[in-house]
Parts: sequence; C-alpha cells; structure tokens
Amino acid sequence: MLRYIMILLLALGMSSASCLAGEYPDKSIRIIVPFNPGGGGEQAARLIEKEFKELTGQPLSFIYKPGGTGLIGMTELARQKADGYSIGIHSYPLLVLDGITGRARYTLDSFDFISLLCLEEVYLAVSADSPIKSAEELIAQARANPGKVNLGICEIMGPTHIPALRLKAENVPFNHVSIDGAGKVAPALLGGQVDAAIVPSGGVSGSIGKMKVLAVFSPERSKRFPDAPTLKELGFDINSAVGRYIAAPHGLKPEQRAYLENTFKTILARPDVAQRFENAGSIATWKSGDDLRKMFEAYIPEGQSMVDFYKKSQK
Amino acid sequence: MLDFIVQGFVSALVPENLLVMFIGLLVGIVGGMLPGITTVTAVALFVPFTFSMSPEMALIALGGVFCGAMYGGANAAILINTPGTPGSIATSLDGYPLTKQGRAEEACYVALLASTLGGIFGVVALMLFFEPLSKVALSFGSEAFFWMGLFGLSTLAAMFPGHIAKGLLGGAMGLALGTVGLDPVMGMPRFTFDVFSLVQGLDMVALMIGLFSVSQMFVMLESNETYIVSMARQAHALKRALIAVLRHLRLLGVASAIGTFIGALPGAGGSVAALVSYNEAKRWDKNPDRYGQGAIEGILVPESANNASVGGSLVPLLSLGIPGSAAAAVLAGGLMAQGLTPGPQLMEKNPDIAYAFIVSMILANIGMLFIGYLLVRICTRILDVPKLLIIPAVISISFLGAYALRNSMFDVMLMIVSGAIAYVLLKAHIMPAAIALGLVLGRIIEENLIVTCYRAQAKDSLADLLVFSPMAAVFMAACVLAVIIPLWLTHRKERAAGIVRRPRLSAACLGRYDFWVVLLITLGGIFFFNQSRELTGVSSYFPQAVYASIIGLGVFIMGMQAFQSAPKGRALPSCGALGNIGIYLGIMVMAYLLIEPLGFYTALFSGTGAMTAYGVFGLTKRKCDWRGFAFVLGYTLLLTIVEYGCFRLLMGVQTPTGFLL
Repeated sequence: MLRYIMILLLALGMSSASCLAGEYPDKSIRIIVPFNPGGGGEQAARLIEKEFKELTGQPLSFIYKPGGTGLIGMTELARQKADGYSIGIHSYPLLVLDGITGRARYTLDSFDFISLLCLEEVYLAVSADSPIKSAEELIAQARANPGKVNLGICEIMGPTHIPALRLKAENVPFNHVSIDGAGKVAPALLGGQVDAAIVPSGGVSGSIGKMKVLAVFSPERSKRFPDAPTLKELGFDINSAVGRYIAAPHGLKPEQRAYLENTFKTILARPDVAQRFENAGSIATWKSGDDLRKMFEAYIPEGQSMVDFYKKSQK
Repeated sequence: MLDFIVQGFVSALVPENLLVMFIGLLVGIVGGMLPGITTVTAVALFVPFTFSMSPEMALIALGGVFCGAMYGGANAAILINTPGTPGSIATSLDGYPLTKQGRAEEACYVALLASTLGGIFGVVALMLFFEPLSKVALSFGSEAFFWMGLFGLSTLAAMFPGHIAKGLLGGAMGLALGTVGLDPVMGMPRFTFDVFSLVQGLDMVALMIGLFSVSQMFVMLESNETYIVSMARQAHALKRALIAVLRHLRLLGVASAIGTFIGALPGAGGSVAALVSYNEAKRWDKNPDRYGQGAIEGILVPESANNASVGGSLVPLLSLGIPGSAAAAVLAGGLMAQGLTPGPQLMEKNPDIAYAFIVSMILANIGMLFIGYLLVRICTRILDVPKLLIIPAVISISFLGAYALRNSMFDVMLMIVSGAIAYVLLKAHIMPAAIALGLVLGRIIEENLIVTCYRAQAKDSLADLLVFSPMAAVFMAACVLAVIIPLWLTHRKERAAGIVRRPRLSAACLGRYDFWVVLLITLGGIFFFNQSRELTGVSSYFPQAVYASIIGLGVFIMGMQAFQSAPKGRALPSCGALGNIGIYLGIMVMAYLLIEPLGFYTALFSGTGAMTAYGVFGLTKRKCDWRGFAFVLGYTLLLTIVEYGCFRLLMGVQTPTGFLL
C-alpha cells in the first residue's frame, strides 16, 4: 500500500522536478552562502542567478550558513558530497586567512575552486559632511591623537581589517572598531559613531553617495573615484580587494567542473551582467579555478605576516 | 513627487501586477502561518520566481510577500498559540486567551484590520517622513541599540504578572542560548564542546518552533477535551472587530508610529517593534492587568506595529541601500538581481519603479484585507477540528519548518529537544515568550555592547559613552522604570489587600516542582559560568554577565520560595497525560531517526500516521476497524501531500531523500 502511495507522490513530484537521471545538471544546485541573507556574499550570487537558470535549466537554491566570517558555511561546504550539486560562494581572501590562523579544519585542498565572479575595491572613506578633506589630513589627525580616531572595519582578519593593521604597522594608530559587516559599518560612519571607515565597494554601493572616498587600496586609481589617490601615492604600499568566487567540495568530476566554469564564464561575458555588477559597486571579473588557486597560494606569505602582526599586537 | 505617486498607482493597478501582488500576498500569508517560514524565508524563497518578471512587477510581488508574511503569523498565534514568525510572539500573549474565551474570530479580524491599517500607516509615513526618519535612524548609535535591547528585555518584568523574576530568568536563558556558537565579533567558538553542529550556533527559528509549537502541542495533550475551545462560535465577529479597532484608533496610530520608527532602525525588525509597542501599550494602560488575559488591545498593538515596520524598514533601504531588517535585505537582493541598486540612486534614476513599489505596498495592504478575510474564514475552522488531529499536523509541519531554513538535521533535533525542555519550563512558569525574547534581542545587545566598548577606547572612559550620552541615559532610565514599576505595583496591591508578609523560613519549598526546576537552572548557570571564565577578551563579557544574572535570579527565586510557607504552584498534569506526552515525544524521535534511511516525507508520513492513529484509537477510543484505519490513513496522506505541495512545490525546499521520498 505504502509503496503505491509513494509512487503516486513521486508522480506528483515529477511535475516540478524530473527525477530521471539525465545530463548534469538534472536537478537544482544548492549554493551555500556563508553569510547572512542579503549580505555581500549573497549579492554576487543573486546577480547571476537569473542567467544561471537560463543557461543550465536548473535554479540555484540558496542555503544560508552564516557565522565566523564564512567559517561555518565553508566548513559545511567542505563536508558536502562532491557530486556537483553543492557549491558555495565565498569572499577572497578570507579562506586563505582561515588556513593560516588555524581556526578552520579545512585547507585550500578541501575545495575545488571554480570561478572568480567579481572584484570589489576597498576604500578609505569618511562621511560626506565630515570636516576631513583628504587622506593626508585624516592620517595626520590619527598620528596627532594616537588611538583617539575611530576607524570602522567590517570584520576581524579580513580585507578591511588587514589594511587597517598595515596602516597601524606604518605608524598610523587608528582605534579599530570592528562592526559585523559593511551593512552595519555604513550607518555607523554616516551617523558619526566612527570617524572614518575602510569599506568594500560592493557592501556600500547604496550609501557611497553620502560618503567621501579619501583613498583607494588598489595599485591603480579607481575608475569610479579618479580623484581619490591610491595608498601607494600616499606613501604606503598597501593593497586590498574583495573577490567573490565559487567553490565546490574537493573531488568534483573534471567534466562537471569544466561545465560550471564555462557557465560562469559565459554569464560574466555578457555586457548586461557586467553592467549589473557595476551598479552593485563591483567589477565582473572571471578567472578560472586554477588561476584562483594560484592567486590564493601567492597570498599566503602576506597573510602569514599579517596574522603574526595581529597576534603580536593583541598581546 | 505627486505625479510619481499617481503614476505609481496607475502602474500598480495593471492587471498583471495586481495578479502577482495577490500571489505574493497569498504565499506570504500562508508562509507566515507555517512555523519555520519566517518573513525572511518567505521572501527569500519567492525571489527566484521574480526573475522572469519586469523589475516593477518583481518588486510588487516581493512587497506582497513581505506584507503578507508579516501578517500571516498572527492567525497561528491566535488560534493555536504557535506564533508562525517571531513578529507575532506578542500577538499570542493575548490572542490565545481570546480564543479560549470563544472570541477567536473576532481576534483574527482585529489582527487583520490592525495589520492592514498599520501597514498603510508605515508606507504613508515612509513617503511623508522619508528624510527625517532616515536622519533619526542614523543617529541611533551602538550605545542606543544596546540600551534598546536591554529595554526590550526589561519589559519581561511586566509581561508575566506575579512572576517577575521568572520572566527575567527566562529572558536570561534566551540570551544564554544565543551565545552558543561563534561570538559575533571575533568569531571565537563559545560553549561548543568541539561539536560542529554547536559551532554553527543554535538556530533561532528551530528553537522558536520547539519553544512555541511543540511545547504547545504537549500542553494540548494534557486535557481530555476534544476541541481546543469548548465555547460556541460568536456571532457578528467582524462587526465587533471593526468596532474594537475604531474605538482604539489612537492607540493604533501610536503603535504604528513606534513600529515604523523601530523598523527604520537598521538592524531591528518586526519582532522588536511588536514587543516594544505591546509593552508600551500595557504600561500606559489604566488597567495593565487585562493584558495577557485576552485584551483586544494586546492583538491590535503588536499586529499594527509589526506591519508598520515593513514601511519603516524600507527607509534605510531606499536612503542608504542598507536594509532595516533581514527580510528587507533579501528584498534588496532581489532588486539587485534585476539590475537595480537599492539606495538613493533608485529614487533618482528610477523614480517610476521606486514609487510603483511604494504605492503597491499600500494596495497590497488593502488586498491583504480580502485575502486575509477569506483565510480567517477558513483558518478559524481549525477550531472545529478535533485537537488530536491538529497535533500531528502541527508537529509534522514543525519538522519541515525547522529543516527548511538551514537544511540541517541538527535543527530538527534541536526543535524536538527544545520543545520538550520548554514544556518542562512552562510548567514551572518560565514562559517560552520570555526565552524567545531573550533569543531575539541577545544578538543586538551583545554586538552593540562590544562595538560600544571598541568605540569607547578612543574616549577616556566607557561610562561616558555607555551611560552618560543622551540617548543612553533616556533608555537606561526607561529600563530601570520598567523593572521597578511592576514591583511597586505588586507591592501596593498587596498592601491595599491587607496582605502582610511575614517571612519565615520553611521547608515547604522542597515540595514545589518549580523550586527544583529553578535549582537545576541555577546549577546549569554555575557550570556554564565556570566555562565562560575560560573565554578571553571581548567574547567573554556578555556570556559572563548573562550567566551571572541567571545564577543571581535563580538564587533570588529560590530564596523567596524558601520563605513562603504555602506552596502555590499549579497542579501538575496527571500521570496519564504525562504518559501520552511521552508517547508523542517518542514518536517524534522515531520519525527523526527514520528520516535518514527512509527520506523526509516518508518518515513524516509514518510519524504523522502513528500520532494520528494513537490519538484516534488510543485516546478517543474509536473502534479499530477498517473504516477507522482508512480514515487515519487518508488524513495522514492528505496532510503529507499538502505539506509536500507547500514546502516542496510552492517554496522549493529540498529535503533529504533516503530509500523513498
């Protein structure tokens, strides 16, 4: 009896999802977002979700596993079956740093990296109505009042905290105020609770109009804010960027990996998608999984020195 | 601006747009009613369906889901005391007593009318006071958020008259539950004992389902009555509700204003709005004791406030691109998928879309009136269904609801365990609503405490910022008053009644059930306090404070009981009832264990079937013939199919499959 009922139920289920084995992908793909709903990590995935469904015929189904700046979600992803139906979206360079600090159980080898989706610039900004006019002025103020100028950062050991640490190492002693996520740093900056902040361009895309971008943590000047000098021009060799990328648990079939890689490549090559990323404050940038991994490996020495510096400064 | 508003009306009234709005409303209301589908989940699940739509249409649909889900929680809260979303916790405090008095329909209509009016208030306020609201919301610093959180907690003192300390103890336990996992700033694990599932933290939704839905089902099992309410249906419910709402228009306005404001604060949503306004209404009422016993205002106020917060939460979204609540954040994600940037740019570059969206929210609230009316007619029928058939239905939906958000089996287990524990606590007068309030507010309090500490490093002392800044001082005074006033009122009442307490130590407390429960909690508090001493730096402040207050409150309560000669604890349920509860709990655990091998729906089907069969044949003594059997099977099958339709087909929730579905 029960079996007949189940067959009946199965038949019902067919109408929505075909359960017959077919070409990959033949069912929806779970994407683990290691941040809160609506956060920066989800944003990049939402920007391409529509095209992903069009190209593969399968929707992405979003699973939120927030906590520990991505630690929880990525641990979860590393534990998933590498069947091509579980992927995750994460932010560069957090994963590399997790490996260095040793707080995570995963390493780079726990994942197969698939594609870089976009890059975000990192800005040093103040509120538009702040009396501070330039980065030099802000830095001078921080040096004149050591530890008395509040600088908002968006996480601990991540793309906004590390530049702050490096400034500290260069004798620019801000008081670091760590607030969870760019979405909360922006109101704190605009409401005057912190004097300045280091923010990623994507997280503040809506509020950037009410801020003054004083400097950019990039090798070259930003196209959006050509008047803002790079940190190098100011005499500090400090760069930072946020990259959003797709990863899967290690052991994916090569053809599945190639399929996903190509799908994202095709999506990101579309001009309307690029425009959408630009509206959201980031730059659509495709990179293959192998290049991504090389990039991560190249970052390890710098990350290591930052972690050491941070540990020393905590003592 | 006016021409944009008119234009907005025109485009919102296009038939296709109206249609998607109604679909959105329906999904939202139904989702809101189901435990586990919160406003956030409902909006997130609906986003993929909007891709094929034009930006305008997508926004209108999502707005409908948002409004609907905020309201939908009310019906479940009123009818079976299981708030479907955190926003409707406050509604259940008075809603369920009203149902018990046979005024269920009236209560549901009041909730509907209040939601509609509150929702419209919020949207209109959004249009009129956009600029000032966004300015005020920005000036709300971390110290103000911290005190607002504590203020929300301090209201617990007044929420359960006669059990002030236990209310606070429950709140502290909720805060403690929220500290499990990684701390919000440093990401250091706390109280996780190296178990990965605990490192993830205890999911609020799963805990809430356990606290409210599961424990409430156990309470229902206590009595032998066939139906939830033995009263006859009341006549002219809609008319009564209309009169009640019209009579309290001013109160409704105040509650909506509070709701809109709290919604406009980045980081606080409908649940905080509802609880704060509920308490304010109670505090300023001439006769606050009516609240919690079935006061119509107790539904009107939180429901109007939580729907008003929808409009409010769009203020930071449209002025800064920062969502005012988690649900608004998901809405923003949907916007971006359409190539639009939430924030001031949207108002400048696409004012037509922005206004069509805002205006459509007004229409959505009006549309909600119609859909809500029909659903109230249907939903109140649940009171005509025998209790023993409702219980398996609610429990099986709870399984799905706990699983849906994080796709985690741990959450399902958490739901079962927390349900059982909540029942034990409930019998000792430590109410689920108190624990839930602690859960909702814990994160806000801790995060902002730490940020304030960081900020204060730049100043000379922490006190300057945390105590003496103007915002902080106001809220702090309000907190102190919120705790002292109920104490003083109780004292005055006792004096007026001529009760003179002569404290004398007696051993009578040892015979009290709640004494032992509080003792256990205190011992647990001591254990975890010791654990928290191993933590270092900022991540240790909050847990230490929480466990210290648990110990303090526990010792205080036990001390008070030791000086009372006559135990006044409620009678415990009979052994037979406890046995039945045990059997249902056992079936739940069995169903949980069956999920892995059999698949989610098959396990649910067997669990639901077992519970229904036990209820029908074991408890109501129906003859165990083939007709009875067919009835049980048919009912279970119907339930499973409806659940499959709602969660899998409509919401797209994926569940593990085992041997079968």
